[in-house]
Amino acid sequence: MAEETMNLMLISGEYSRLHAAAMLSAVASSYGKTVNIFVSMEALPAFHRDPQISEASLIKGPVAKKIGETGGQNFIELFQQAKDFGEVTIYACGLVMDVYHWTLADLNPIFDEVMGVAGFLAKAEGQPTFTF
Amino acid sequence: MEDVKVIDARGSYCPGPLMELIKGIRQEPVGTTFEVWSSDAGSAKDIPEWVARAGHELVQNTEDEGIFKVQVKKLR
Repeated sequence: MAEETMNLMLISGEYSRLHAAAMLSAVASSYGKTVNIFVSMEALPAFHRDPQISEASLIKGPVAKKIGETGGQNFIELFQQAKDFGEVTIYACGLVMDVYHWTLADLNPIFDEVMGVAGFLAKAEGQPTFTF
Repeated sequence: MEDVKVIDARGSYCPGPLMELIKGIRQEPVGTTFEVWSSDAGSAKDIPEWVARAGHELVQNTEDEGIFKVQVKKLR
């Protein structure tokens, strides 16, 4: 039987990785899977409300640029859609929040709470976890 | 003839057409039939995979002059 929970760790600031994670999240949540997403390291600034900060943090390869040119949904919209489809919880890494002195108000509102790595590991234990 | 709700996702790339179908399926009652129009060959292949996993019925999947028409019936 398929696992009912999927965990994702986003640690890269590469657009393609974030977009792939967002697509997976949307489809998995549409099946009824619970999805926990821990956003840490270079990935977190990509979710900042200030477009100057988020854009500067994103690394875009040729495919990412092509996706942008097609005018489709960006990764933030796909994560929001994933939340609309089902049970998706998005956590901001406490370490990165602390080093930048950010609060959740600094990030896109798709985030649910700030969490440390121990808290995420406790949630993810025994369930499939993918890293992007 | 049974009413079919058309989702015109031409010009949108994967997973756009699938996302539009999922949104439609969430909004309409069981028994509704959808027809997704897509110019994206990847979606014509991926939508049936989603339909099978999500427990709905793939009614037909055809191509007409580069436009894929995937018909799906909501079963639950």
